[in-house]
Order: sequence, then C-alpha cells, then structure tokens
Amino acid sequence: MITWSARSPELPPYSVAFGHGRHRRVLDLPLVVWLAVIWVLLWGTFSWANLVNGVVVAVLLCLAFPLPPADLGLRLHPWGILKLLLYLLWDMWISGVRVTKQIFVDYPHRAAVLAIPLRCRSELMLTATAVAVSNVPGGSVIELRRATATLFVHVLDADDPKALETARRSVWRTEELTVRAFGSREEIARVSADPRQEDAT
Amino acid sequence: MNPTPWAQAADTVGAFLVFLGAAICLLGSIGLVKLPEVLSRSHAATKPQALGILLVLVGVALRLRTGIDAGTLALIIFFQLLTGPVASHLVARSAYRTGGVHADLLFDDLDEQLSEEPDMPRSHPRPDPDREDAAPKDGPEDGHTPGGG
Amino acid sequence: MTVFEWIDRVLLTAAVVMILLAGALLLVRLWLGPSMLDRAICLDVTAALIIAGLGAQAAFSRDPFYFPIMLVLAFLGFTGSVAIARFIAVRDRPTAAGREATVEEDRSA
Repeated sequence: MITWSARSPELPPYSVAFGHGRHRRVLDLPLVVWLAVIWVLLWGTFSWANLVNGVVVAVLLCLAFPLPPADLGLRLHPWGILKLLLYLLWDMWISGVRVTKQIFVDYPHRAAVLAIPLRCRSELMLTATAVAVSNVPGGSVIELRRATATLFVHVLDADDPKALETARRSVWRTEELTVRAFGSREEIARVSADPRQEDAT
Repeated sequence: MNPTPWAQAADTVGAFLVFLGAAICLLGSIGLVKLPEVLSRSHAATKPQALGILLVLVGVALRLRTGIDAGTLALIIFFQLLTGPVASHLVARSAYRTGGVHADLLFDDLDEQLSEEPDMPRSHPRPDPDREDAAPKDGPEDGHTPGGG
Repeated sequence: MTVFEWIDRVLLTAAVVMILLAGALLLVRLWLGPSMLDRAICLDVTAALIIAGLGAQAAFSRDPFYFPIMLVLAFLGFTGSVAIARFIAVRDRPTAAGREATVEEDRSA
C-alpha cells in the first residue's frame, strides 16, 4: 500500500507513494518541507502550531493537485551551492563594475549576440544556468536552444576580442558551478570536460 | 540603553550595505537612461534587480537580527533572483525579434541560425514572436523559454 | 544619540534619497520610451526599487511590517513586463517611434 522510494527505483528520491490505479498519489517529501517552510516564513512567527499547520496544508495541496511523478534531476549539493553563491556574488560585483564603466565611458560600443555551446543536457540544468547567467549584470540571455544546448548572450563591447573570450569563459564557469550545485552525477561528469573539445566535435 | 559593540557593528555594517545597494540602484537607473538601445539597457537594469536588492536586504537582515526575519528576507531574495530573469529574457527576446536591433550589432550568431531554419526565409529576418504558439512544433529547433519557479 | 547611530541615520537617509533619485531617472526613461519594451524594463526596475525602498524603511525603523508586501512584489513584479513583452510589443511594432521604425522599413524593403 505505502511504498517508500528507497524500495522502488521508479519513484523520485525521498518520496512516498500510496494508493492504487487512478487514486495513486506520490508525496514528494522535499516539496512538502519546502512548502511548510514557506508557510512558516509567510506567517512571520515560528511556533509549533504554525509548523504543523504548514505541513498539513502542504500535504493536502500535494494530494489535491498532484504533480506528474517525474524526476526533475534536481540534486542538492550543499558545498556546491555555497561555492555557486560565492562565485555569483563575486561575478555580480565584478561585472557590475564593468557595466558601470561602460555606462560612463562615452565611446560607441558595438554590441553583439554571441552563441555559447553548453555542455549540460538536462532541461533543468539549462534553465538554471540561464537564470544564473542573466542575474549577472553583464549577461542578457536572448535565446536558449534546447536541441543544441546553445545559449545566445548579448555582449556589450564585442569589438574587443578579449571581452568575448571573457564572456564565454564566465558562462562556462557559471554552468559548471551550477551543475555541480544542483546536477545529477552524469551531468557533473559532462561538465567536467573541456568546453573547447565539445566545441570541436 | 547601551548596545554591545557587536550589535553596534552589525547595525553600522547593515546601514552601509543598504547604502551600497541604493547606490547600485542609482547607477543602474543612470545606465538605463544613458545606454543607447533596449538590449544594452537590459544589462543596466539587471543591477538594481539583482545586486542592489541583494545588498539592501542583507543590510536589513543585519539590522533586524532575528532568525525568522532573515528567513523571510532570504525568501524575498530567492524569488527576486528567480523571477527577474523570466521578465528580462522575455523582454530581450521580444526586442530581438521585433525591434531593429540588428543594424547595431557587430555580429550576430543567432541571426545565422534563425535564417538556416527552412520555415523562415531570409526575407523575413524578424518573425513574429508568437510563431511557436501558432505553428505546430515541427522540429527540435525551437526556442526554449527558461522559466523559473 | 551616539556617533554610530548618527552615522547609521545619515547612511540610511542617503540610501532613501538615492532610491528616490533612481526612481526619478526611471520616470525620465519611461517618458522617453522610445519603445514599449523600454517601458517594460522600467516596470521591472520600478518593482525592484520599491522593494529596495521598503527595505531601507525596514532598516530605518527595524520593523518587519512591510516584508509581505516585498515578498509579493518579488513574486509577481515580473508579470507586468512579461505581458507587455508578450502581447503589447508585437502590436506596438508599426508605430514604433524614431530610428527603430526606419530601420525596420529599410530591412523589410
């Protein structure tokens, strides 16, 4: 009747399935925890009653509006997340300074749209990389091709070949850190490869 | 009432971070006014949206110093960082496909790829952004919209 | 009032003034346009500035009263500009002012 995900490989990790046929429901425990945390934070005060109510509401929501039982491929690596956050902060600061310089220097920039091939293949990782890249002031994502995993980025001073190289390098670095923070094992193996070789093939 | 040195230091650092974040917001707005075209402006707009908000809210957390408020602020930062790219990407995509940004670009990798698609002849370099919704998806080569949350 | 409290007060007041200035500059860009997409970007940045302003207020008064409003703005601030980018910008095309319109005609000719 009740199946724990450790016993059946087709369920997503850390989840419980119960019921049969059309009434089968899968409870994703991390999702329940996340919803309960948001509930408590929205109330603004922590109390046990609040927490219990949050868990009850989260479970009821998950039962009433079931998500398809698909594995998104999201894995959390705490050390990787910390490294990603620190890198993003540093990158935001550095490229914020660079964009500020470009604002105040009055020579005509030639902008360009640059195609950057990515190494990861899962949709979630591509999306996460695009979100991370476009949160940094220097990167404005115009288009993302899922089929070829190519990111199209608008670069401000494209008349400088060094700036193009920097933009490419920083996108690849963001991609690698994002996948190391949230990716599954095979995706991590994929991004460990040198992007240049991927480029050549 | 005499605050401890640590509390005082956290207060002042928090106030300084709020100040810094506000300065970044101001710089972003200046960029928004000064830069020449839509796509460049969206670069400047990212600054108040991401870095400015981040610094201001970390400063607020340092001044309030209670766990639950820090959690709420972290949630605000998280959702701001998650939803900001959705809007900026859609605006950039729409600007690229409808506006006349092509003439200003030094080179354009995306234009070549768009033109290679058989259903998009060279004479119409800027197709309608709603094309993918109207036409059935016939090939794998269609734009993918990264969406958060 | 100690020296440090005085410094805090000056910093936070300066922060609020800068956010207001940023909002004024944003109004300039809103006025100038030239396209609807510029205004969509402005809308996004306005939401960000409101969050920043409420944050400065919360830092000044040490009061988490406005946090839910900031949270809702962070959740939903992007919907307006998404709607503009998705629906209005397309209809806006023939009347797009200035150089963009001429470039458009040149290329389609």
